[in-house]
Amino acid sequence: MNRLSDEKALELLRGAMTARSVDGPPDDLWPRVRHRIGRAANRPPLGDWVLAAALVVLCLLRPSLVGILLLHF
Amino acid sequence: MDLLDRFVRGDLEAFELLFRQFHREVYGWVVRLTRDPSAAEDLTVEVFWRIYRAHARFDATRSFGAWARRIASNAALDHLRRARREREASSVPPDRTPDSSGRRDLHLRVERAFLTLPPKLRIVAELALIENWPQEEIANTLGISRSAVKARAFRATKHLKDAFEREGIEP
Repeated sequence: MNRLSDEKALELLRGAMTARSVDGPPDDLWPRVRHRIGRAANRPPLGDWVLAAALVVLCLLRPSLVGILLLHF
Repeated sequence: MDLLDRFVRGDLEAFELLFRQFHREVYGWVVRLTRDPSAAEDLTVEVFWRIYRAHARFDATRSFGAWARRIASNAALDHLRRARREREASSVPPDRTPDSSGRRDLHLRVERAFLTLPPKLRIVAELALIENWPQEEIANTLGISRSAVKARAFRATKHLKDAFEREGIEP
């Protein structure tokens, strides 16, 4: 079978796939962006989760530390 | 203080003004790259979330529009990768029912072949092969070198020709 030339392949591609042009989103997306920012701001930082996990592991390894930690709460 | 400087400092009002100014452009860009208007709203929200998250890293002396477009390109690329993985995982065979109109059938086969392009090649193919953008502009927009654009356009053409062959499209 003869292989398509680059030019013919491009011609086929451009004939079938017209460039998309759009005006803009139908809805106001700002409330969703604002919500996303708010949600992230309320989430504890990753560092806090790491610290909490480290404390749990430490308590499992050295149960005697639980009493000391409780003094701080 | 300048709007962009306020944005860099994390001022939400300044960010909203920039959103109002650029969201149409970002949305349109995402639709062009993904050809998926149904995902474009979610992606636009994702892009502006990424923009806000990176506010402190933005250089206020540079173009906000160009920066936003680059972030949108990366988000579109992530979306195309995800969509491709889902398509492969679902392994639904493509609809190969011939259409009554020969031209429409050909267009469908070309479109199917286009969808098999790996995302990185697909984005370059969209801009370089379909929209005929200059390589320099594509390189600047996507944040890659001009030689990378050239190589990807070449590989995309080769991939498309193979895919056309698999679809039974003959010269």
